[in-house]
Amino acid sequence: MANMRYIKILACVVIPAIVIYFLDSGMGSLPPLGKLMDPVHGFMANAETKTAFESNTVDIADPSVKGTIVLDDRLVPHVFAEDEHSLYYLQGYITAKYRLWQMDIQTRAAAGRLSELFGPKFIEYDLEQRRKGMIFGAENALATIKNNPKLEACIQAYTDGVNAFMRINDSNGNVGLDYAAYPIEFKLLNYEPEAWTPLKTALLLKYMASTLTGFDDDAEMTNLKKLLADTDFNALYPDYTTGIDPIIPTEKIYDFDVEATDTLASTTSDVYYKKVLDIFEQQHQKNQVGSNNWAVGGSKTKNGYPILCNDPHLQLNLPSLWFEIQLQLGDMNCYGASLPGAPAIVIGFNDDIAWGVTNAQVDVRDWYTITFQDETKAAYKYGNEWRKTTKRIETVNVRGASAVVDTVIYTHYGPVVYENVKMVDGHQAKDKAAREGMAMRWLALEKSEEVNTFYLLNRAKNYDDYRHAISYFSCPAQNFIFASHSGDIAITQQGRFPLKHEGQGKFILDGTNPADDYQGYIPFEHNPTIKNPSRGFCASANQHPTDSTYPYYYTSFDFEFYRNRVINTTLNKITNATITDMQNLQQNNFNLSASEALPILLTKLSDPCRTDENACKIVTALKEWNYENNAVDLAPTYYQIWWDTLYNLMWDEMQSETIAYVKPNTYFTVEAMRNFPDNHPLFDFAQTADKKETFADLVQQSFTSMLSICDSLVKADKNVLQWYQHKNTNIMHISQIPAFSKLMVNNGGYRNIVNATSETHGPSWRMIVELSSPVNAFGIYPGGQSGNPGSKYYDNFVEDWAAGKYYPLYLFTNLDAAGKKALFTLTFN
Amino acid sequence: MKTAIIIIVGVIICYLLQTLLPIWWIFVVLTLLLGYFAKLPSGWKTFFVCWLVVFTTWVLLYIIKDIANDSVMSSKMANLFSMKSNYWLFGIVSAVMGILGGLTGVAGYYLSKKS
Repeated sequence: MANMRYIKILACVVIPAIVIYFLDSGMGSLPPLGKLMDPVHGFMANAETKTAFESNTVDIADPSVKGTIVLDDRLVPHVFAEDEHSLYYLQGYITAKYRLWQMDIQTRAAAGRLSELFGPKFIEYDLEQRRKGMIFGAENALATIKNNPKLEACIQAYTDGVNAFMRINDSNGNVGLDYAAYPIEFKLLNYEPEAWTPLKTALLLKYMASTLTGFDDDAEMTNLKKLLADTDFNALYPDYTTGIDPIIPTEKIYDFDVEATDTLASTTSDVYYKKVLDIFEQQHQKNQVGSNNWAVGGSKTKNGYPILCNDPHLQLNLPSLWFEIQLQLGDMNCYGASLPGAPAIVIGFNDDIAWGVTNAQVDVRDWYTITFQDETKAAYKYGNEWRKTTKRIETVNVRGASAVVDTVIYTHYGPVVYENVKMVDGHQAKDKAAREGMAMRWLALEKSEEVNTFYLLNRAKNYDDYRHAISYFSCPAQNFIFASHSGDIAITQQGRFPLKHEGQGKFILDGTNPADDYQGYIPFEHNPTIKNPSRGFCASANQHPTDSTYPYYYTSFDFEFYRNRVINTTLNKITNATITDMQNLQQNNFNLSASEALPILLTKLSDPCRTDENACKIVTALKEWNYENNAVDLAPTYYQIWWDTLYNLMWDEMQSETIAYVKPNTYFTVEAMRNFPDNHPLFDFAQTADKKETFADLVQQSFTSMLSICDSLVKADKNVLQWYQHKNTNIMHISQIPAFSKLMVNNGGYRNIVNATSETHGPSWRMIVELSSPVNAFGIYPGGQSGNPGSKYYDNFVEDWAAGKYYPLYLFTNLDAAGKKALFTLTFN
Repeated sequence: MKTAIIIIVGVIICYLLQTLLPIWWIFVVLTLLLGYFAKLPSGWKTFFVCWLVVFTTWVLLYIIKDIANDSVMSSKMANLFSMKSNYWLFGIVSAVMGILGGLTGVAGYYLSKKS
């Protein structure tokens, strides 16, 4: 009996002990469920209650920091600081309070450090980030910043503020957090926050540069040049074309003395046209990243003040990319959208000026073939000499496995990104194979101090200040729009652009040939810019910056052809413009590309009304469509399915499994439909060897496919054909957790439409600023100020954003004024 | 009556321990002691009382915070774990923790038998 009792005691102790051990330490990808489920310190500690909104004095144990943060009714912090150190310290503090996990994961992703959190499945991703030079580029940026003591102090203050937030929420006083204070994602993903550093800020900015400029079609263009006849290549992939409406109006005369480029013609292209590159298909992310901005001069507005508008189209995530904030110090009083992880405001306004950005879309990443002297790769051929390489050791730590050590070879162009690529299934390996052994020259890796631009723009008072501020901006090149209370409007495409000979960088370059090297950089003064144009407005939407009279060569991985024309047409016509007019333009759902393509398709389509009732109904809906991609309409869905099917049929020649190509964009596809003869060889569908299809055949075939797709969609679920259902905009949590995401957002728009909301991307921050006195500003982004899914401020803007609403943006002049809108106040002294 | 008092006192102490100490499994220490000192008539009854103490405490802790949060957090977590509702999540987790508490309570019960 006694033995039985001992067995029972043992069982009743050992079983719970084992269960507790596993619930406390986690298993595989599962977090420690015991800790996570703890109703006090686990996930319920992230269930925000009204105690989180009580005013108090924060004891940060740093007497040098003096200031007050007023959180308004949308949880926007209004920072009132007594000195510059305190200003950026408090910005860091309050951003960390609401967005710490986002800051952490974005910089780890930038630096290629995900394997250390999530194990071996991220090794390939991490190695690619390292080999692309993300850390190398961030270190270069930091080295430049160190030469600017004010900027260095600003970033250090921001860093100190972030770390102060972590320290005061750690009962041991370390720069960490107590488990209960962890953002929920740290608990779910089972890792610990770490101290912020200035390098992380630099990494974040390189991450943005990668998002905006980390593309090129150099290998694809090289292959296309070989595939297509010259006339077809020039028609489908031209640098310029008639009918473009560039950012800088054609009235601009480029009368400066052009910097000379090396006049030697490059031989690289010829070499490559004659040679088959065994390059594999690359996944392209076309027409996703983009933006609109415009500034309407006082002569065209109702109140006589300039109005500036901006909506950057980026990936829509929760927590949002942006964090609204007001920064006030002395006579600097600025409001706008900041990037969590970087000091200052990126897109915003102050009492005197407003500014915004769109991506330049100009190609700033080129690839050079490298001829090494021998297998040691210690030297490579450059002209008649052998230049030495340098080697950078990258160590990727891996959770649950040993670290991976990699050596990256650097030439004077940049890193040799892909070597010894394993040929395995999946696009990543194919992408790497596409550029194996080549050195990458990417402007994002060179010395730069972009933060200085925002630091200075936040303080700018006039056009000259704006020009001075943007002169520091290198990469990712942006179209900086500007408007001032004094009545000036302007736009500048600003970045550090290399001097290139005609065609340079459109194709893969010969790394042995000095003529293919960069010959210098276009001077800041020669970058495309215009002030107070006669048409009364400035605007950009990622289109060509200039017409063909601009004397420097540039090419793009993806210029835009539709949004810019809708915007320019609207603004050309507008008089007495109001804030509401600007809101309507930002929400404009007119599908210009459909309006140009659909009539061509309908003329080529044989009338189905005698034979097929359903087909007749769809054709009638398309004929009656007003080309608005509104949320609940059916016609946009019919059109888009038809177009996508036709597009793939048309360019089947470029769908090779072994050679990488990029298909012509929508604009040149429509041009081909319009200008190529009906029996052009490119319209022939290669898979049907016994038949020569004409364009009309493709139209008919794609229409039939569309009917069949719609039919099967409806059979699966009756509610799938309204445009918002088919488009299916999902605002996913950064870690792709559906429970923390907003799925199938009910709104209109699409790619190539001013309201550029697609499946995953869209207007990430809509801002409209009337430069009156005081400034009259409105804005919204699809998210919420808090990054905590347990807060009602996590996603509270999404529905209003989808419905096209805006919030007034309060640029308070002083603490008392802010206090009237205060939800609560944090005092630091 | 004695059992009811044990349960009420147990819940109060458990509530305080869970709130004050950052150790999610601290309840098993309490139930071990409860099983040892409560001198309940059987192992089964000890298991049930300890299970009820832990279950009630965890559910209470969840509900109090959840009401103040309008279920914003718990509904998302329930969705994440494919539960029908946040109350299912609270119930299942609290029941599992109750079993751990019950078992250690039984261990305490048999330990007390010796002395």
